[in-house]
Amino acid sequence: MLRTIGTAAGVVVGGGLLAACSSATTHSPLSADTASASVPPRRGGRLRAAFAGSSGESTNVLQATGSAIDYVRARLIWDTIGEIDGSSTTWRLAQSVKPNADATRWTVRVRNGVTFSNGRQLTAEDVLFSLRTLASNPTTQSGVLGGLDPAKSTVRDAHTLELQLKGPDGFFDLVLAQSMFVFPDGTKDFAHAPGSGPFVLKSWTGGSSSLLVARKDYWGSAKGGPYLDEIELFSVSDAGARLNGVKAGQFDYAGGLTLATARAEEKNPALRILSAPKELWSDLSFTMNLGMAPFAKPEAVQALRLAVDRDAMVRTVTLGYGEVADDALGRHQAWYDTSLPPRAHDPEQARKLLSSAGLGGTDFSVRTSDYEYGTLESATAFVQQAHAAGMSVAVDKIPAADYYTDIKTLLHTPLQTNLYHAQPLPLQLSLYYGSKASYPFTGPSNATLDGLLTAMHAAVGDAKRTSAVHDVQHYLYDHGGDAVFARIPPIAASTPAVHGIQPHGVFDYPCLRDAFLSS
Amino acid sequence: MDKAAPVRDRGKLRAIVAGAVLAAAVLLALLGPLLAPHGTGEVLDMPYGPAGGSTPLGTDHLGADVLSRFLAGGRTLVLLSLAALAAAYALGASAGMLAALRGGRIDAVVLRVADVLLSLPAFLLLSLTVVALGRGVAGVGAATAVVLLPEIVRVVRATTLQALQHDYVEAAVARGERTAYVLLREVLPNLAPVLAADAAVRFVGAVFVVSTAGFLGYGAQPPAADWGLMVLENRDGLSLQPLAVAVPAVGILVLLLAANLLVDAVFPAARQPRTRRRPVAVTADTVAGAPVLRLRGLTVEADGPSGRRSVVDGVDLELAPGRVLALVGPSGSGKTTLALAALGELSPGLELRQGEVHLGGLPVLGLTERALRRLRSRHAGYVPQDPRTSLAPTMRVGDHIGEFLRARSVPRAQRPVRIRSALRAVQLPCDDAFLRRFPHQLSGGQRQRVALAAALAHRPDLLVLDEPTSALDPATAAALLADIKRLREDGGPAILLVAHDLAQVASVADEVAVLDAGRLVERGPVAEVLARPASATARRLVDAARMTALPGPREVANQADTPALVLRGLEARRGTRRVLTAIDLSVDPGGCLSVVGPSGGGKTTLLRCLTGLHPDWSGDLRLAGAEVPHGLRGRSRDRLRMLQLVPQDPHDSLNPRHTVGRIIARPLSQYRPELHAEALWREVHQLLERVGLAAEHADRRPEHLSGGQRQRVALARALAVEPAVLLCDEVTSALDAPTADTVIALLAGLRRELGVALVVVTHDLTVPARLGGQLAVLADGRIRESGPTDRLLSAPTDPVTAELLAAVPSLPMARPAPAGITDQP
Amino acid sequence: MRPTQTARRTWWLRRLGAAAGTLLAASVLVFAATTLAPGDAAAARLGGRAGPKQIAQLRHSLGLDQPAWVRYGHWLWHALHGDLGTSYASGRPVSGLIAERAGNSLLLGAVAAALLVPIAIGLGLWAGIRAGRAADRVVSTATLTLVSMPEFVIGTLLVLLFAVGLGWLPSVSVPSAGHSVLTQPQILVLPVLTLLSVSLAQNVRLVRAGVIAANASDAARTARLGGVPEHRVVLRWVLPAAVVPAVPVLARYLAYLLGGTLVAETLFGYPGLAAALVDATAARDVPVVQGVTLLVAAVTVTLNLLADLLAAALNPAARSLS
Repeated sequence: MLRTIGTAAGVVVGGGLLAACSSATTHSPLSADTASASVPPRRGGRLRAAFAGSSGESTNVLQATGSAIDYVRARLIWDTIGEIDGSSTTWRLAQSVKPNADATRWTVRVRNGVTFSNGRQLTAEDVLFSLRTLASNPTTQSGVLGGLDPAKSTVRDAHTLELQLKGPDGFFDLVLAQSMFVFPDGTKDFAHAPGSGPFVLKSWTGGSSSLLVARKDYWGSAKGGPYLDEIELFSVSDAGARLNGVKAGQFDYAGGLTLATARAEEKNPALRILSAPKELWSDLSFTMNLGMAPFAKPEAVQALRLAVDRDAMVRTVTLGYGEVADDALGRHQAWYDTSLPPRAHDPEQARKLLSSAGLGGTDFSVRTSDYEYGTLESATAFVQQAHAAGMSVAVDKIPAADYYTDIKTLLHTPLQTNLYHAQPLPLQLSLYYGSKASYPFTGPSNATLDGLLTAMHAAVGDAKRTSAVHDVQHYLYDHGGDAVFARIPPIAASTPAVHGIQPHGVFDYPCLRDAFLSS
Repeated sequence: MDKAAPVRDRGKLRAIVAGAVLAAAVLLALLGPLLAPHGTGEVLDMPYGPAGGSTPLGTDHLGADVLSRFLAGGRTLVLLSLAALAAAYALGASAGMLAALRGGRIDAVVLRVADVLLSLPAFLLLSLTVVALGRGVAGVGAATAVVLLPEIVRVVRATTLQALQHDYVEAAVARGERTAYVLLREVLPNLAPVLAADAAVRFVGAVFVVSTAGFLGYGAQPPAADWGLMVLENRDGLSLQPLAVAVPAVGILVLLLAANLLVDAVFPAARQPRTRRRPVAVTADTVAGAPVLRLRGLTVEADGPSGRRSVVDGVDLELAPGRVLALVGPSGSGKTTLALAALGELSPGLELRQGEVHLGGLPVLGLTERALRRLRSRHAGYVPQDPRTSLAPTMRVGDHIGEFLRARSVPRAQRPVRIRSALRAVQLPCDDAFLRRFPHQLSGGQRQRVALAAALAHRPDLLVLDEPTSALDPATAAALLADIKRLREDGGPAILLVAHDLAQVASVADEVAVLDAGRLVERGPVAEVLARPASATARRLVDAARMTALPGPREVANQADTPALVLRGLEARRGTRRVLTAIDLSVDPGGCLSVVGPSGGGKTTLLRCLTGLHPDWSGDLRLAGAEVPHGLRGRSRDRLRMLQLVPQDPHDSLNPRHTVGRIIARPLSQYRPELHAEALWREVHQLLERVGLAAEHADRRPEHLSGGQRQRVALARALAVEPAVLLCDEVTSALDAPTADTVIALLAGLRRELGVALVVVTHDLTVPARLGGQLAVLADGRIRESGPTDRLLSAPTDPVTAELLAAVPSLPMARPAPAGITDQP
Repeated sequence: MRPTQTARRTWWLRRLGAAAGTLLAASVLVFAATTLAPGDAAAARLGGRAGPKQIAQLRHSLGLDQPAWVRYGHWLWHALHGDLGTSYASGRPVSGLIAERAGNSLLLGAVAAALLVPIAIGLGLWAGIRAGRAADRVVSTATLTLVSMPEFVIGTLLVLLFAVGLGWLPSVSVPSAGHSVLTQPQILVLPVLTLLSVSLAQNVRLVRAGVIAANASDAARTARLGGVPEHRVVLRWVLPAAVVPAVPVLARYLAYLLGGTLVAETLFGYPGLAAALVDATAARDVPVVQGVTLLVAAVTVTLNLLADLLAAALNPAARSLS
């Protein structure tokens, strides 16, 4: 359950219609940003948006991914090298990104004619300095930049730089599209680092609100925003309060709302419930540590996967809005292996498997927390379902604030719930599986899996890369420790007048660059 | 059902209803989980499903049945609140009581901890405790206890300090009882009602904290059910499925409302039903020459427990201008009701049956409140009985009198002059400093005089004085009465003087009216009534007022050589001030030593030094020849037995929660442990008979006994251990004349029959006059004079003794015997 | 120096010494509680956002790997020199954060207090004088119901009615950027109403009880028997006697109002001290927790001191005793 900043590709130009929810429910489809395609962008006005924030906010670019409101603000002030749309990358400050033959050295051409808010021209030096700073500081981006060798990377000329990797990585382009903010070379005070983004921070009160003003000379204004004059971001920690703000006409947009809001406000004409395209939905999973009893025995893993009633989970936990998942991450991404067969729900078979492995009477305990919606609710629902498969399961609830404090326990828990946020599949796989994984929840790796992962990284070219990913997915489908059972949509709400808000990879911290108000 | 009863019954009814609702709410909360149709975590249907079918109240955010979660959600709230309350009380009460009793370092530490906790707001304590102990039921329980603790410690400490002031606690300590007994048996039973009231209010506070903690997500963790948590969890679906929030919210509301109603009903603020007046037109102004006050056939009834009884029954009374009428009678005879009726005032619960009252020629009963006030401001002045509560503590003397002048619409410019002259009329200083004084900066006598000045300032025709001297010591009382007499001579207002001591008023009043059980039994000039009292009541009053010395003690045969008690060179100090210097006393077995003197002379400190309650003194005390340590701690059980204290206030010397039998049995069983139940009770009954009470008094509580009877029980308790010396601390001052008379007779009798020595401390010279034996006059911490009583009373050598003697009102004797005191054989 | 002056000076010194002791004890208590809790600021900030390596790197840079008493000593030494340190979560100076938030909280508390005192005394007096009559019954049942409803229930109903329902008032009390709360008073209305609901009810009941007792007191009756008109009796006899016992309790409520009001700030998103403290406690941001606690404890101690002085000033008898 990692809130890693990552984006699943999914071009949302004009907003893809959200596929109708699975037939089992009677809900009208959540309207993704469908209307904006037909509405011509209107210039001017001020957008008031509310996101989750706290007194611990900061304008420091290195801590931008700290809270929702920090991240939304950062995406407006600093441009990134590139963004993920659907399953592919859209380059922003980079013109092009090319790997060498064995994907150990990547050449990046930097876009011309881009100026920072203080008038300075953007050069390759700035990009390299930014990457080096992000990699060497305790930031979220440094997690995925592990493969880069900052010392050996060099600047060839004002608009080209060569990035040397420690080892071959065919997917380094996806890494460069993971919110790599660019700020001027030599910046010391990162809380006031000038950015090349579409907006400039005019005033800011930590934990309460900030005002951003559009830059008239933004390099990208030819093909899109900023259309608005100003954007005002409100920091409201309570989701209920954010929703009430939109309903009372105090905000135009509120992010990070709950599925219950969607159910409750479905028929409210004054409100538009928004959700993400399917590839940006999160995956709910029961993660089993294969290195620990009883899941060292494959029958136990298989039994649990059969015991989960996936349709019931979609109906109750995701209130009918979600969709079923079949023990594999990253559905609807281009990398996803659609040939993986759907998992059946067969409690009787599960009971037989357990008794054949001599695990008839064992007690299971699911470690979970209400850190985010979905995990605790699914654990509670699973207790009942497991009973039908003869498994006695107890819920071990950990307070939200303490869930991440003990990483060692996190990585040595037989059974726990996980909410995997949408992330490009290749990055997601190498983050959770294999011996080099940062968060190996499913326990120690093995030679076959490591081999497949190394091959995946070595693959160059789309066809080879896709088939390498499929191989890993197939292995995990058969021998993995994750029982991914459902996919849950993120929810936001806005007034009907709001258009042009795109996730560009992260729905909960959307990019407001091209936002506009139709009335 | 007559009209006066419903007020009390409605209160009781509301208490029963509130109690029933609270009991039902708590029962629902406790039994809820058993009644819940589905498990709390059981997911039934789509979240926020509508009410109907198997989910009568719909489903909540989990999709679980709201009704079952509601039924299960109450238990944690109620149990946790009660548990936290119990823990907070156990810790808080013991800390509070210990701090109050031990004082010194323990007290400072306990207060310091309470201060630190009080300085942190409740929610901060809550979040810190939860962070430290982790969320969940235990964390919130501990946090709630920590939040409640400081207030409880303070309340218990304050009430315990108050309880320790009671005489019955000091008597127990003087008996040598251990701290544990004093706390558990003497203090705690009386603390119980206060703690109960406090606990009810705290319960509401506890439920508040626990439900708020639930709301903030600190308490019961999902999927467990908790009303506070349910409100938090289901707020998102408010517009879709409001029941999921409304039902738990109503649950909390009903629980708290019932608890608050119960608290209000059982401990109501003094609800004082106001008597409504029937407005009557006011006729012309005073008719010149008419009597100041005329009462015709006045009958006032009260609604007692046994139905209606008349407090004043058909009284006719007249008071001519400038005359002084004394209204005398035993307590409860309706004197005060009559006096107040003269001013048109009926205290709550009294009902005017018939008759009229004319003040300055105008009918008083039935006026509108405003007209009545105007009438009083022109014609009447009133001085209440207790100087301690008659003046508003927040008003200076000058302002107080000024208000009465303002009521009489005396122009502002003239007021200062009138105020100064009123103060001069009552012998009080009238300089600016005095005018700016507050009541707490005045003595009892001065306060009574200020009240008198305020009553006279607007020159009323009628002055009503309600037992003005009963709360003052004789010297001050005598001086006040002398001033009232002088007022009369300067042509002052007509005075209606209510008193229960005939001797005092004899010198002031022109006429005296005797009341008994609401009826006027006798009326006439003072001298006549004193000489030939016609009615039985009057006769009893006159005899009590006479000073008849009781037969002197048979000088006890065995002039034993060793005196029962010898005190040599006592030097006592209170803080830095020296209170007693060079005190030498001695009393023989069966003898009697009276210690007399003005208040504040050191009498009480002397007694406390003798009993060891006040350890801070030097000197030498011997009981029956044996040396006795100064403080209580060092004294052996036998030494403690020989010296027994009889406290002053009968209403305070006995523990209200104990029966009379138990009060006497306690010291008895300690002194003679060999007595088993049977013999013990026989001994108790014997002691009761010895002090003039009957055996069946044993199982009564002190509140069912009169003042005199209680004083007798205190005596019996002291005699239980067969002491050598009885220390009596102002045993008569709180009793009315006839009762005091009988108690003194009892004391004299005990001396004769048991040979126990008496040390009697009093400010009333009539007591030694009757007891005889030795007398010592104590003033300003020194013995001014001592010797046989009759010598000192007939030929005082020290000015203080003479002054005390003058303060004793002597009666104009009809019989030839000379005025003053005769020591009849 | 006249005796009363030295007595008063020592009284002040003792009280200030006690206050300093209380603050120190509070800071130790808070530090221990926050350090006892599992996890630390580094794990709270980067948990789920970066790998274990980054978390360890942050822990070292924040100095969280030093022993607890060293960190406390370090903090105390700087605090005594007026530097409350920097927040672990945002890296900003604690004093800046607290100044902003304290301003908002004090404003909210001050407005609530400015309404609480006059209304509580006015309503309490008005109902107390009419004890038993219709007006009093209405006030009593209203206060009884309000006392029985926890703040979060009342707050939820207020938002439902006035903000979402009628749309008269903003449902979220966050000032727009650059503006102080003063320029947008309408965001204060609902939090103040929520805050006042319970404390106003409690104090009206207290003053009412005081008035009833004073009304039936011996002194008031003497004044009435002496012919003093009713309005003067109420003004000079009843009101002072009723207000004096209410003062210390009112002061305690002021401390509660000013010392941070978690429920009102959570329900309406109001950027006050209480919300900041809860965020900091969850983020194990010890410097912010210590800073806020010290400020809140100092405010509470000062107000208690003020309450004692006020009680003494109003009730002359108490003054001579202390």
